[in-house]
Amino acid sequence: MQKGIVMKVYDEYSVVLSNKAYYRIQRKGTMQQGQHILFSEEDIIYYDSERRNSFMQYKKIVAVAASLLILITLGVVLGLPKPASYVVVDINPSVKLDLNKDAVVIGYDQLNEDAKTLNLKNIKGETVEQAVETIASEAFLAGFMDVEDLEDDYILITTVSKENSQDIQQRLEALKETSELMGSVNVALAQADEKQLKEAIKAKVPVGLLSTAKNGENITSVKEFFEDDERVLAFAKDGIILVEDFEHKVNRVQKNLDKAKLDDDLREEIINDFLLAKEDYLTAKAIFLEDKISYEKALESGDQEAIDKARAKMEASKQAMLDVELSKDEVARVKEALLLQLEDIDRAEELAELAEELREDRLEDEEDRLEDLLEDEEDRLEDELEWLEDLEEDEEDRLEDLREEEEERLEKLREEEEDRLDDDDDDDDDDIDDDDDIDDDDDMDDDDDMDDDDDMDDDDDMDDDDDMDDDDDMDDDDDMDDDDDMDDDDDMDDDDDMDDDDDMDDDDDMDDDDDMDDDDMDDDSDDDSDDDSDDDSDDDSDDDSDDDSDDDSDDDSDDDSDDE
Amino acid sequence: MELDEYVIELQKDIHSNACAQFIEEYKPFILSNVSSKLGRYVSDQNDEAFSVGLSAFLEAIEKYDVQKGHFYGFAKMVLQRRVANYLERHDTHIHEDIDDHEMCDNTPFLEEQIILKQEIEAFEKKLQLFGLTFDDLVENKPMHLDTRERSVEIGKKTSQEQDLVDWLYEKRRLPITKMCRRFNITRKIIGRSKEFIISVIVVWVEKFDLLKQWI
Repeated sequence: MQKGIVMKVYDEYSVVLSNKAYYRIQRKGTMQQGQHILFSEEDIIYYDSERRNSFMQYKKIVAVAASLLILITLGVVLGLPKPASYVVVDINPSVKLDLNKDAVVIGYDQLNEDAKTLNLKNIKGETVEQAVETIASEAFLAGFMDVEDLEDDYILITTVSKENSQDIQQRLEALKETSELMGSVNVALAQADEKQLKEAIKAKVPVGLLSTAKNGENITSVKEFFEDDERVLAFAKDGIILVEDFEHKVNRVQKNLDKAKLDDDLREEIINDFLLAKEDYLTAKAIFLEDKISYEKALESGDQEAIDKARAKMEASKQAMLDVELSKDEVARVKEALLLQLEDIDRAEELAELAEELREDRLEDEEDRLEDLLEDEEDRLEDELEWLEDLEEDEEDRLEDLREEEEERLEKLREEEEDRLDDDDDDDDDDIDDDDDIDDDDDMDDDDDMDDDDDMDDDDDMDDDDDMDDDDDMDDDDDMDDDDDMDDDDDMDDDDDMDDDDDMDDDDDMDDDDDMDDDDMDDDSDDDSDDDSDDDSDDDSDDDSDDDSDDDSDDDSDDDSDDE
Repeated sequence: MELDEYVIELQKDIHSNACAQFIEEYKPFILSNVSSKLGRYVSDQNDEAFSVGLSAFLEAIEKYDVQKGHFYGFAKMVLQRRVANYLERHDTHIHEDIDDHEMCDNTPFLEEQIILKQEIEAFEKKLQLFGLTFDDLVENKPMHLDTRERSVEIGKKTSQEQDLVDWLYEKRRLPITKMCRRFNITRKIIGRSKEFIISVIVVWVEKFDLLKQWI
């Protein structure tokens, strides 16, 4: 049971996210994206590549096993007809054919692993000849024998039958003549009884070899068995060996002769030897076969004398064949030489192939390596690019800093410069200011000055100073304070001038007063008169005392008048 | 049958730990029966249907008797009947239910639900940027839990590294080489669960907090 949230709803299923994994689950009713749900293992849908797969396979195996079981039981219950005879075909694949009394295949057993690779489905219902040929051609197609190479191929056919084994054997012998494939191999025919068959199947030995192999090694392969000539002869005592069509054999060897790249001299020699041997062998074989046939005839006739005679003849021809053995050896020698040669060629080819493979591997490796390198290089370049970008940024930052610093420095310089300039200016001002300050404290009353209104405090103060000091001084100060532009004028002006200024500054009120006092007159004249009076009064008052009540009163009156 | 005898044993003390454990073990069984009867999946938070299932199962344990056949079949029958009853009742009182329970109880819950839905939709869109769908994630998920956990760890770590995230969003693929170098891991570990790691990174980078709980 798992908790999950629905991520996506499809028509057939939904995708849920649960415990760090995504699953497909069956749809049930209405489902919404983001819905919290509980679901169990049985709701999860698995596809081929996922875990459920193994379970499905398990199921399949169980199903197959069950059906097999049913089939077998059916077979046992119904009872299959018992075969009249068996034929065991051993190439390397071993197949047991069950035959009815008409020598038609009604069943077969694949006796070893090799046989199981053969496709024998259609073999049922064929006659024994057809079946044997089918097996041989299947084995040929599957590569169990190669009729083109130098090695001799044998097909061992063992007949197990109570009644018609002779008949079957004859039919197979005839097959050897009619079938091209069967003609190009050695066919060994043997007979056995059912007990031997069972024993052989149990021991996994070709049944036809059982009697021959009993007194020695454990032979399991037909090819191995017939490699030894002695064993071939031993086998021939009980069974029949239908030798490969000689024409085919010669062609076979010749084909391989062409293939082998021998020195011309050596090759010619070998070919000559070979041809000679071939001829001799052919003759000897012909004689032997003839004798054998007559021997068989004699056997059939049952005439003891004829049998003896024929046997003697056969012995002789056998002797002749043994003589030819030398030339047969020659063929064998050629074969050996060729085999060696071919092996060399094969080895060389293998080596070449190996080298090619190695080269390809190397190339692939190289490619991989280059790809990796390329990728690494790409990464590196990217890193570098980033690094460069960083560097650029740093550089920019640095430059910015520098610029700022520079600016700051410049600013500072400028400020310093300004300060310096200011300082020069200030030196004076400062002095005055200082004075002012002091004066301020001292002179409270001296605000009376007509400057009150017009001038700023500083001015006043200065005026105060002036008051403290002589008029002239005051005037001077005044001048100074009255802005620089005025300075010159002021300086140039006398007290009167200054007064004039004052008057002018002092609004017209003063004048008005004056005016009230006096009739309208020219300003100048007025001024003059005023000046005089003012001067007088001022002088008086100032002279009298610094802090004059009169002054105050005057001021008051002035103020009053101002007010008015 | 052993199971039947065990249930009889449990009947002696229905409140024992063993009984609780037994119910816990059979939760998937209860769940599958309930949800198949309901015709929908059971919600993992206060779903009434599931509690109906649980009490039905308890009832089945209490009332079980060997004469009633195997416990398994009996429990199944009880479960399905109780759930069917619940469905009937639920249908007639549906308005009441909405008024009384769902609206009151689940309001914060519904809000969360809406946010979660939005997150999932946004997540899906982001995944599309990388050419991924949820189906891809199902198919390419690492099978083993520990592999998944390691992948999640890698994804989390990567989402902390801004430059790697930028690279991923720009190139639409994992900076595998860089990640290997930085976290000292092999290419194989990442290569096997690329898609999953991307999805983890996206969840963390985009800060889908509700989805984080599930990864």
